[in-house]
Amino acid sequence: MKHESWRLLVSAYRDGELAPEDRARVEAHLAQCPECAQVLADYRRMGEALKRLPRGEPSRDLWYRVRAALPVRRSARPFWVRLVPVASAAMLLLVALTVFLYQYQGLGRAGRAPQELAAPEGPAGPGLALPSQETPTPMLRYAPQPAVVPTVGQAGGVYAAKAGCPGEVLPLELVALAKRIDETIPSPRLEGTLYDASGRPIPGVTLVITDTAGWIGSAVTASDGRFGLLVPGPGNYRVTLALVTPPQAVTGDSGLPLGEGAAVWSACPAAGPTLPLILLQAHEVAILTLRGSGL
Amino acid sequence: MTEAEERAWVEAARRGDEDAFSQIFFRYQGALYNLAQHLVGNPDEAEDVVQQAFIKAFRALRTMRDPGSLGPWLRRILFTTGLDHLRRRKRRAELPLDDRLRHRLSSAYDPERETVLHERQELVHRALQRMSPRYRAYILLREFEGLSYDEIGQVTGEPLTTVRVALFRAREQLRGILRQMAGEGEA
Repeated sequence: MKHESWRLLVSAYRDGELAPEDRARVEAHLAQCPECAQVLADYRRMGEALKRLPRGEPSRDLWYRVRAALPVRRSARPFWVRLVPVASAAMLLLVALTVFLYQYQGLGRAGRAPQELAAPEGPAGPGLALPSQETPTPMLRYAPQPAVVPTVGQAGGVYAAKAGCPGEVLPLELVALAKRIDETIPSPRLEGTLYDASGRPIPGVTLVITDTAGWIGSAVTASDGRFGLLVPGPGNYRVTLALVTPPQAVTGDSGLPLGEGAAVWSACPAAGPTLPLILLQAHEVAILTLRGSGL
Repeated sequence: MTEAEERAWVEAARRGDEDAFSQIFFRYQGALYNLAQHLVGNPDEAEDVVQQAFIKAFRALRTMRDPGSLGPWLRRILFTTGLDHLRRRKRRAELPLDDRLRHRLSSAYDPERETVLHERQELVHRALQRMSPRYRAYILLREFEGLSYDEIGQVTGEPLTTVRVALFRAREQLRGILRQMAGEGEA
């Protein structure tokens, strides 16, 4: 048999794809042919290097690019329903700006800054009743203000928080609440509802949920804003709120193990349009028993 | 995602359910992206290839024979999309090592381990880009993805004997390129 024929067998031998009798023949040949033994060693070294080639992750907007090109019938949701997030965001922006301006003016009248609002930078002179008309870049620094204080083991809580981003008006923030988890539950499920600031549910928003071990799943909010997803079990989960518009996702990591309480995180988009503020009312980030439910 | 869940997502996606397709996307995007990245040698182009592959997959779902073989089916679409992409791309002797890939290679480097290993990885990455696209795909499916001959055959649509010979040719080609590069003083 020629060397090339032997090497073909050596290649299959390296892959464990030979029948037992051929494997024995190759092993016998390798024992007496240093050249083929060297070939096998080379194949193994190349294989090890190939196996360890770097791995990465695609950019976060890849799904949006794919989604935009899908010939999907989206008529199941009325047009006005799809506008809800946009309209809610616009309304929220208006409300937030109104509140900001109200507090900003109140700051001057009261002569002291509310704790949750950053003192405006600017040449405000002593004794000046109102801040300078040379308005500095708005920087909203609200401390997280839970509308409902969550209790471990109890569902509930709405968080609204905004972080300061120079040049940005209202960056998006997400909030996750957690509930005590019974580790013995066989089919843990993460559930929640997405509401806008007025309490209306936001349908059609994709939530991407990952854990630190690399598990990934996604859920889309239903017409009542609810979402649900089976998860592997207790752990740290990262929720990415995928906005309908603009196509930009913001992520945050609670940093807390699920089941230990609440977390608030924020993100400032580096560029692009101002993101609408959406409140995630994770009122039931919980692990439920789903025995017999068919899920 | 269990096999039963995967079948359910496929069936739903076949009916045009975008949410179900998003589950499939997030399940496989990482694996397909990494394969594409080393197939085309560039992260940006890899994303384009993955994007095209998923769009093709969504459109072809209705013609999918076995909803239980989603992984090989998606890899097959990526395989053909990636090779088409490389055929369209202007011929280049060698792509410059992308900064992000270089960074990942560096990040993967463990000072406790042999420096040789890291150098070999970078060398292999360069050598891969000099291979013929088809052989490159074969050796990536086998060594990087860890697929068996049977699974590779499902991806490429070729019989086992062809897979066996193609892998042998791919190894010999890569070995030859590495030797040539060593001779050029790149090692």
